[in-house]
Amino acid sequence: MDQAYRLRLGVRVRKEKFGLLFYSRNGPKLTFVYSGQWIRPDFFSGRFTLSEWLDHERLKARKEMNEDLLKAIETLLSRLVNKGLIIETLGDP
Amino acid sequence: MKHWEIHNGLSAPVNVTWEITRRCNLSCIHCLSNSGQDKGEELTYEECLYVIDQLASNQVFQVNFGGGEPFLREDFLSILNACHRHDLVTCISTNGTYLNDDSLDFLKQREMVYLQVSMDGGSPKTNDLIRGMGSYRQIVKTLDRLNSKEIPFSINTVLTRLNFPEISNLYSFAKDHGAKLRISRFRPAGRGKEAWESLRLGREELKDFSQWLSDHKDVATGDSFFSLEDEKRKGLGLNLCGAAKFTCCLDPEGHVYPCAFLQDSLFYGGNILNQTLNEIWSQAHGFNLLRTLRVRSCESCFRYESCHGGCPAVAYFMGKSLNIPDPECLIYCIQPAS
Repeated sequence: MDQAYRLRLGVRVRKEKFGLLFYSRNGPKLTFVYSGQWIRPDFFSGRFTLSEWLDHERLKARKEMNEDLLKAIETLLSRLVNKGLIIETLGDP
Repeated sequence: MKHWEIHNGLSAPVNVTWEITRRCNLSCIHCLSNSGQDKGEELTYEECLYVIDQLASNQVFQVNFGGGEPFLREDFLSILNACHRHDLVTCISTNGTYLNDDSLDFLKQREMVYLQVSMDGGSPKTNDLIRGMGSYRQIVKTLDRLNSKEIPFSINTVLTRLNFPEISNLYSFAKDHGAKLRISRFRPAGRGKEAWESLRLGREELKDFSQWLSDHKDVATGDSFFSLEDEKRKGLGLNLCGAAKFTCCLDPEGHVYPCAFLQDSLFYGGNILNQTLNEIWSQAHGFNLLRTLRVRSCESCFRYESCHGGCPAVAYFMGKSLNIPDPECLIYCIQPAS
């Protein structure tokens, strides 16, 4: 939760109805991520930790986040790290 | 991978094929865009910059430059520069006969460029029959220069009846030059319409090629042979036509079509100088037509999930209908003609 994330060099991401679409120069070119609305491309600026981001999103959407959803987001981010699309960073001090 | 999200169309193209000029110093007999000496109307440099702004603001990821011969445009390197400033990855399809030292120096410095050099035969005789006398020698010279400057490239071959017997030679040739071989499908577009019957592969050849592709998984196809590929290549690329779903094509005048092979009034989306890319992409009748297309006669086929009816461009130009199967699908090759 205290990790921030940013895109790896050569990777871009944009928002789609189903979630996120990643493009990587390093291949494979496209990755479809069914992440819904909780994570948007600007999360990957590396400026927010996951907990900061989700706090902000909760307030904005006036929605509660349950444990299952939180776990799913953490798993998703971990998979994206393993795929070489994003890297962990400490976020802005 | 499921593709319902692509069937419905993404928010914008992932990549755009941009035929930046119709000028070409060669006159290949299968040229999809009928390119040649005549410049015709083409976008000015300032208009190209406007187009690049459009592509960037729509979050397009990649631009595939073709033509014509892109390097014949005197401002082509500046156009590439503008793309890179907007973080657009560029892929250039060149005939390999017009790359000067400035171009090579530019390519050497760039990470955001993929270079594809066209070669249509594993021998000078076959290549020159298709691309013109002396072109083989010129292409090889360019490939040697690219190798000496350590500029990566791939070799692109349009598969025809003439070069099919030499496909293994081409594969070895590419390997010897440290390049990947990319084989593209020949389609009845541009001058390819006239040459279609004489150059297209027959059923037995298509079947043999399908097998050859299975045995050469390192050969790229630009997703143009998904209607022919068997199980062994599953997962190596897309399994459906991407026209109007994740790609579209811009012609030299700025006209937008779903695909380079669907440049027909039925599919015309509009001109990017008169409408925004977003308007064309989301509203054009021809684009939505392709997104809703279901080839009903294919839906009961066991290979439907592998090809979704195949290439609509070939079906349309051969049968003047969209709702028919790709006439060159694998099933057509392995079953007796009805």
